Amino acid sequence: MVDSMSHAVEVRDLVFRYHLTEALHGITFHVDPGEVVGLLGPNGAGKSTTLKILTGTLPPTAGSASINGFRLPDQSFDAKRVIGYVPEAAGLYESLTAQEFLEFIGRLREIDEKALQHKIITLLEVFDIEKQRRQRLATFSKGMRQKILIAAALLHDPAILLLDEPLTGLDVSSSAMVKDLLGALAREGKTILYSSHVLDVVERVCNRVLIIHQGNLIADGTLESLKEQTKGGTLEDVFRQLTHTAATEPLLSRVLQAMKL
Amino acid sequence: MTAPRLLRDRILEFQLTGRVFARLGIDARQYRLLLQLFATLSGRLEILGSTISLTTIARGVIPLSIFLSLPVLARPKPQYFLFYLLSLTMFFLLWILFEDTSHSLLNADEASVVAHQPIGGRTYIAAKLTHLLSVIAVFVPAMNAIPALAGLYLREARWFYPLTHLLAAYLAGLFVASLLCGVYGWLFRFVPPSRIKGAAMWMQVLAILVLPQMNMLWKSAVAKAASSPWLPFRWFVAVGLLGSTSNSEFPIWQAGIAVFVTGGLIALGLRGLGMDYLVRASTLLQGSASVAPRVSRRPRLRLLIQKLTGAPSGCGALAFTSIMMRRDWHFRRQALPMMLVYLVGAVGLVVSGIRTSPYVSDAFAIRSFPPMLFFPSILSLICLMPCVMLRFTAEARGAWIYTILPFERLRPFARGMFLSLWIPIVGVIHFCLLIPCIWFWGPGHGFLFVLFSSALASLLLALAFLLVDALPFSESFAPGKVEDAQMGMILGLVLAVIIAGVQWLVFHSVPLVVAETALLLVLAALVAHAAFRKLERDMRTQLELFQLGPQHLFKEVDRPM
Repeated sequence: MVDSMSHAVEVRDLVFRYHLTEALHGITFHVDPGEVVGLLGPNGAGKSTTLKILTGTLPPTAGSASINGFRLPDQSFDAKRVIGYVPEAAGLYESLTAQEFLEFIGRLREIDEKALQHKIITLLEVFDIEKQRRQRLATFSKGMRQKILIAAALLHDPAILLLDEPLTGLDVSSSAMVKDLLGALAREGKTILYSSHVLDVVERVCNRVLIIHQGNLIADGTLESLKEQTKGGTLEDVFRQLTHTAATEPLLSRVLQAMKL
Repeated sequence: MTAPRLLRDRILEFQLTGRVFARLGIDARQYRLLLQLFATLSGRLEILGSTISLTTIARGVIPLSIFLSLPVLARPKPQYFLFYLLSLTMFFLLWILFEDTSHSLLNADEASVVAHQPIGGRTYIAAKLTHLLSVIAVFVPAMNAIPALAGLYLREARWFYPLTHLLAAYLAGLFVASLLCGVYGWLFRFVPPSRIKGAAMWMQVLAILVLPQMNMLWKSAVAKAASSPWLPFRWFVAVGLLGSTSNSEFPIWQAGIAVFVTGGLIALGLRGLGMDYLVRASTLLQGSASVAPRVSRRPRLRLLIQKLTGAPSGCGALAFTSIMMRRDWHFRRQALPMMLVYLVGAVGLVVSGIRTSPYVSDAFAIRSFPPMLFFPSILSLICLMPCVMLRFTAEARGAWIYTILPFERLRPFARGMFLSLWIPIVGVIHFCLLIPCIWFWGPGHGFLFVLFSSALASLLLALAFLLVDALPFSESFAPGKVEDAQMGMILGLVLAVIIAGVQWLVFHSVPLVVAETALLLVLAALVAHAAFRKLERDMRTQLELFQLGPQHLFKEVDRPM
């Protein structure tokens, strides 16, 4: 049963532990319908883990998470119906062609066959891989695979998009296209939770920013409020200040010394 | 579309089927889609359909079934013939399905592709299990059709005996498949994701160690076959004897209880598997990351290995191959169980045979045959499986790393690979053997035997190493290779007997043993040298293919295939 319809995504005191390692230490946040929220953090901060819990593919150790009021992981089947997810690591059935893979995903999601074929052709044309649609995915480059993952996430017109580094491997024009697409989807009223290391994209696309550091949510607010809070000029300044990112100079000299050994 | 697929799709379209599936929590439409997907993927060799191929059926199973039909000539009672056939069918199916179930259910990469799609765990598992049942559909008639027909010649056999025989065989096959999936279900239920793969592998090892002891069970069970309804074999014998007078004494209520309890346990296991399989399978991916490093960092040892192999790349090959043999899932699952079986055999030989000196002083008598003479051959059989399986991996895409390997460093690399097998299997084991041998046979005899055994095992390992024809852990797994290696290991036993017989002659004279040891050492060095040269050539060819284009590694091309 649906608990609450007020938040599209709701995470409360979320803990994820694997063996003795606690990846998330009880983070709490929510995303309202129509919001585009950036999820930032250094490598290993817990961003992908959070997204995997929200897609119902990882069970939380403690706390709660819900999508459109559907509790996870108990109601993950219903939650999965309303989300579109672009995973960080491109897991695909390598021996299927692009067309076959998208058809399979579309049919799983019960899209009408005529509409499905139209959607597949449109998406492949827009992403400029229409000519390769009869090729096996094993022959695709990293960027092409990423386009397939994005297309698969959009096929069923999801209300909520969970994007984990969606621009990885994309060329300049495709990357620009996806950025504009995110803006257009936001204007359509889609809820987007966007995890990325590319700060300028987050700065350009997102209304709100969440920063996770070492499994803790250390910032949650609009870009302006965070800048004001940290007296930073750019999102990068805010990020460095909040995550205590060390100055790179001493690290660089260590790398150069190690290389010469 | 093939006729069986058409029939399957028709059945799934029936409303009644949909209703039954819905009651079971299975979405009939998604189930059909998943079946189509698995058929396509296994047809294109992305996932393994079954480790048993049609060639194996034609070459191995059907001739075996003709051989197994021969006892009908003695005209035994149908219950004995059925018991013998069904227990063998179940034994072979257990062996085959252990592999297939493991391939199918522990493939986290495959499950993670659709883990975030709205697919019910039960639907996914049902499709997986159906895919597995194809093994039974092929294997059971191949193994039982001829014996079932031959069974018409049995004493007291009725005209419909072939039908009941086949029905019993199919039910026995279904029982084995459900039992295995149920066991995996219990594993998923109680074992943490990071330990499931290891637990499944140890379960397989245990089964392989225990199954050969079926001979004992067979001896005791045959006597009880007519009376014990608690044994699963007996249930299926009862099915096979349907309509026969010899079935009249079968205690149905006892068998009913046994079937009910076993069925309940299997059903609970299957339920555990279906509950949140996709989530659990995805967490298997997380599980593979936390491995404690065991690489030796001792610089002196590294220096020694570097000198032995001739270059740092040899040291790298030794470390890499050793680590991967412990961690690569495919290698562990395919090679380790058989290796452990032979290792247990070798340890058993030492325990039972160490008191009998191999240095024979009296005349030839079978009773005085020293079991330790089998030791080097059995030990070298352990090496056969890794030599065949060394090239395969679950992560073939990582093979790009070899493109940085300079061609002139391939020979030391091959030596490093050889050492990764020689050190644990020949070196360490013989080092451990030295103390008991000296203790029981005296320093001279003990040391000489260990030296002789090491030389012979090294020669046999070098011969087996000729089978290595590619960079280690550089290609996707090919199922047929396991069957070849298993067959090789079984044939190797025959060779081991011949070798031990020859040694028996030699061990009558100590000077002869010394001379043979020297000869074996020279031969081992020569064969190893030839194996390194051959492997260097093969690796060079493979690297040239890699360098032709990334498509040979990733098939990452922008042009049509």
